[in-house]
Amino acid sequence: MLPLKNKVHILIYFFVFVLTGIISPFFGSSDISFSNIITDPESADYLILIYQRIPRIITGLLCGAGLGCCGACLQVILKNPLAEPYVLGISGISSLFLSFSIIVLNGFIPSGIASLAGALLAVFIIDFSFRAFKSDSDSTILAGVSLNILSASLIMFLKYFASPNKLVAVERWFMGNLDVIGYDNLIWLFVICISGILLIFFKSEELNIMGFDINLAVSRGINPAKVRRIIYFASGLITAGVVWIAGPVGFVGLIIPHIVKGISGSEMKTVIFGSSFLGGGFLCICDIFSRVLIAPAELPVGIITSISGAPVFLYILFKMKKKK
Amino acid sequence: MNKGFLIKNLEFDYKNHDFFFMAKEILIEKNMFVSIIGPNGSGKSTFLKLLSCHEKKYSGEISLYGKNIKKINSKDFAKFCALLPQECDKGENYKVFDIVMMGRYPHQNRNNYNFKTEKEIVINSLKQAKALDFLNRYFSSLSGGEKKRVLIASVIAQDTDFLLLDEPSSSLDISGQAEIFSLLKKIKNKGKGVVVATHNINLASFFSDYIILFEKGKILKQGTPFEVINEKYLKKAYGENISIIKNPEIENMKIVLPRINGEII
Repeated sequence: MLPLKNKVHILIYFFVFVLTGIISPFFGSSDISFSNIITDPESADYLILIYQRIPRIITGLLCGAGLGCCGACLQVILKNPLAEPYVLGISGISSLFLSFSIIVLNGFIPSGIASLAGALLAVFIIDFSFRAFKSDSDSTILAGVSLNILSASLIMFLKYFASPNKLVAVERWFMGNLDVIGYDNLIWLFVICISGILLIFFKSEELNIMGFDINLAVSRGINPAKVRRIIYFASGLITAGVVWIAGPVGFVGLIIPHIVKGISGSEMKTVIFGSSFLGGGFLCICDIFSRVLIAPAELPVGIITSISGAPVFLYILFKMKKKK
Repeated sequence: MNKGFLIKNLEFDYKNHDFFFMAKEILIEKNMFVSIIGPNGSGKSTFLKLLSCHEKKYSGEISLYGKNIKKINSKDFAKFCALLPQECDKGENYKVFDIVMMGRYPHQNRNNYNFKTEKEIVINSLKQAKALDFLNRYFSSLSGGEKKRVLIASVIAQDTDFLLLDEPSSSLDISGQAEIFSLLKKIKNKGKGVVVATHNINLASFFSDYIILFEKGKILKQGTPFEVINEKYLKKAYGENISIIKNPEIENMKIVLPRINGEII
């Protein structure tokens, strides 16, 4: 049972989520007029809204929600405030597999399957190292960082052999981009993100207890290895979906959970919902900037999340340390 | 069929560590206050970990109510036996109420969940541990002694037949330590089994019904405080630098004091 305060907070996060979803379609390189859309369903404005803006915003909301949620629970199970799909190399290995399937296999294996395989391999390696290092989270983070570096260099290696037209496609996607057209892949992304978040949500009570103390959790009848496996699987699934559609978007999973924890405390149900809603909203707002800053051209959204995220993160870090 | 924990021919060693743990036979029943004493590294914490099913790679058998604990489902086991680890305040920052509520986890399931009764149990546990004043505070804002009280309240809330506590009185001042022990005694008097690993031999001998003295992973002596608190055994475990004197206030009670260079301090 959540205290009233937490419920109110979740409601506010949800409000932010919905509000950004509603206002974002009206920002972009070309101005679209509301009256045109209502009066003429054949107009260019209407087509832009339905087939470009709205799918893009849904993508942003879903990817941001998934990443925020992943970051929140990975930070708890790895007991490290830096844990996040990007830092841990889950996005990296997933991107590596995806670019391998595009550049070398020429799409012989569907790119979605390839990115899922990569993400699951990465979470498997992280789980393995966490056990091998006897639950030492710092070493696990370092293992993740080296996975990230390894995947980045291997992707560079692949790019060296890629033909120029493939290179353009891979490069653009690799910086993180929400540019989707139509709804075909969105249904998959929706299913993946929602099921991943729900899977994590159903373990929120266990995450709460594990977040407080792992030995105490064992004595309360929780099997931490089992909970971890579920969280790893869900995070792998969500990250694969995000990488497949939008590329390796960094920083959302890192800063959003910290902001939510700073506002609402560590209770995991609140943190999971809060990080999902706020993550979605944050990525959407970043995407607005990526569309309007150098209009009519577009910036990759990954650049915006990092530029805006890093200073905010530093600010929070300093503020948190001061409090303690 | 026994009334509690029965340990038989237990043998255990940590991989890559020069440590071997052995216990031939121990019986721990409800209504018993058992203190585990022994020097650092003598196997006190290991014993509690084995008893609470944290460590499962041992040979021999530990049974609870006649059933091998390895075969009990972990959530069911948590309804019978709770362990309070030595240190647990490095995690996320929660409110005291939430922490004590976490103790209710083994008893809760999604289908029948009554917040009102759960809340009552939490309040009651906090009352017993004299920690009700901290109800709405954050755990990190409490002092060492207050934290210990809250953690003990969360173990009380778990409502198990057996409570295992690893050094519950460490980091507390002298009267705080005694208060924790008398609180545990009260819990024992409600028909629970209490097992405490401690360095405070004097409190252990005063409060407990049964003492197990470990030395280098093996039981040196187990029995009533009167039997165990004995110069012969304690000197063997702790070395020559202790002395045992009669308690001037209480009959048949002894006090253990350290010595440096042959002098009692």
